[in-house]
Amino acid sequence: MKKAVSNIKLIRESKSFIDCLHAVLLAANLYKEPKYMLSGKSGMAFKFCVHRELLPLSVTSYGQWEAEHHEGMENVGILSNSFAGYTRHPTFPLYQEAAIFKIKQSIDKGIAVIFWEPEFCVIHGYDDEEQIFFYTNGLDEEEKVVLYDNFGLNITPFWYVHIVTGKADVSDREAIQMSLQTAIMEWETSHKTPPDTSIASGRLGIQYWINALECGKFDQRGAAYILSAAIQSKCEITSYMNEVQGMIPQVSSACKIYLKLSSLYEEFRRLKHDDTFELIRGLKEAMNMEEKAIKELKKVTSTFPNSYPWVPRWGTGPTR
Amino acid sequence: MREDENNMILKSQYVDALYESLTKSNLFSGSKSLLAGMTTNSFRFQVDQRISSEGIFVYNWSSEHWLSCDFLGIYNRVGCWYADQPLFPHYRDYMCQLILDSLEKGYYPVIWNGEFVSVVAYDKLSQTFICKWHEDKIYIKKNDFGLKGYPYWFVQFFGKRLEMVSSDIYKESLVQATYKWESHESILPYNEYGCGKRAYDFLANAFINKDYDFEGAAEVLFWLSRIKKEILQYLIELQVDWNELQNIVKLYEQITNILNGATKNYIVNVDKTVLIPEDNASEMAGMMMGIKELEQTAMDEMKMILREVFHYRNDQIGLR
Repeated sequence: MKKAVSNIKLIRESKSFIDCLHAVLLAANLYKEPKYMLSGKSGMAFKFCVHRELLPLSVTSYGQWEAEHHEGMENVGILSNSFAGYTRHPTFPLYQEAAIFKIKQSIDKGIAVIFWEPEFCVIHGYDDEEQIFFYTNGLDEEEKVVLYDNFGLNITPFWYVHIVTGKADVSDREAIQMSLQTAIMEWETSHKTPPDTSIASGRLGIQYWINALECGKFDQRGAAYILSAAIQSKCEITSYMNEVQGMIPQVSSACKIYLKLSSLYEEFRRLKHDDTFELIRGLKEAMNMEEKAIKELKKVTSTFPNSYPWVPRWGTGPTR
Repeated sequence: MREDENNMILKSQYVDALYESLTKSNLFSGSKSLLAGMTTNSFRFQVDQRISSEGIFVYNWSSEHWLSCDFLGIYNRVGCWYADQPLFPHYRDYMCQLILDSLEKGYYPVIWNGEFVSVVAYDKLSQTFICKWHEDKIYIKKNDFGLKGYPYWFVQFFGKRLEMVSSDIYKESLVQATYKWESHESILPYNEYGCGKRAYDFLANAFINKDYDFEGAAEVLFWLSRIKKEILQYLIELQVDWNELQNIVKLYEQITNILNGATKNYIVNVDKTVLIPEDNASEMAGMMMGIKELEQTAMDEMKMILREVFHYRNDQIGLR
């Protein structure tokens, strides 16, 4: 048996999970809005984390993926299923087998599947005879393959698969309200992967970034990746806020700040490679600016209905 | 609910349902205390400031229950969320279908219905799930799934079980036991809930200040007593092949004796409700601190026995 989903157009520009999700949803005809709306409504655009030494993993270390992604997708009405864990755990082969079955089932239905290579990539086809999956990473045109037997194994200690199962209607207003609350939460939470404190989120994340640049001991490739991802996120947030203010006019003051913030980040792009002094100065300014934007968002969210009164029976904690 | 030997009304715990499900699914053949120990369920204890009975069920179902089976090498999937969310009807339909599929394969899921129960059959005619509940059965209409234990819904599915070395599972359970003893359940507000050893401080404080839920306290103390008995039974089973546990067994004997003695401080009302009256609170406070000290000694011993594991796991003792 050999099957493939056509029309997968994966373009790497946002967070890789959003790039993949957007490509999967568009091809399956489950979503119509531009990528920045998906990134904004799901709250993914607001996730921002930095490792103390600016390692490249910063960009995807925004929490425990299953929880973060499910919550984000739920917010736009996307129903889904995920598999994840450490490949070293004894039960991995059981889950690998189940995941392979589910991925094929999904492709049969015409829905491509997201997995961690690493970075997130999209599986769009399979061939039972050759025992392989076909996938793309969005960085080049080349179609890549992975053996069923090797599926899930990668250079990182964990594996991850996310399968979209359907779509339900959710109100735009509710999705937006939740996304603004996520924005505030991401900014104010210090660490999204406790008990690990080597990675910081939001406000403290920028502080980690500045600290690393100041002391000069950091990963060059990671630094460049963090910067380009941050520029893209701010750009998405600005476009998103611009649409949101049409529905919730009170957002306009935050929107104005994000617009300035976004052009400030754009300027960083033009900085010379070794001009850390200017970047530090700019980041300090950016931190203050974003603080103000969040303050404005808080004024808006304070008018929303009270947050949920129940203690959840799930949530992120130290992995075990 | 049902009456315990002490006339106490106890809700069906996760382990009760899990035991039914795994035994019937041919995935486990041992005593309930063995299951409770191997899955580390008897080592988890948390309490709120007022010792309300709510506290018994407030923990991370999603991760704790998944882990319970992963420790045993059993493939399992957990679904769990709020039942008043817009997407709930979709999840309900999807989950009900999965339950039917699972029953067909001979795997009996666990669900939350205000307490945990094991689904053992489905009656097509009346569209009703038949669930094992203590020695009895209860019937849950398909359309009522998730609504009794409002606002939460929960299902856990089981699958194949790996061949695993039992002694590895036992060892891991004791490592996890010390982890539970020392760490706070991350989904709970730190100041409002005490977990592991901190739970005893919460209990003692509430008793000293005489500011607690009289009936809730009796229920929580019965639960505490139950899990300590389970731990004792578990360790006695392990001791057969694991001599070093002798001292720890003795400590748990003392703990269960104290808790048995504590029942003289309870009052059983005519309507069969049980409560711990204010007059007996200071004695209870003393008992709690006494138990804490004994259990701390037991935990220190466990860490001594398993010191190598602790050495290579560094500061993340729970991470396998």
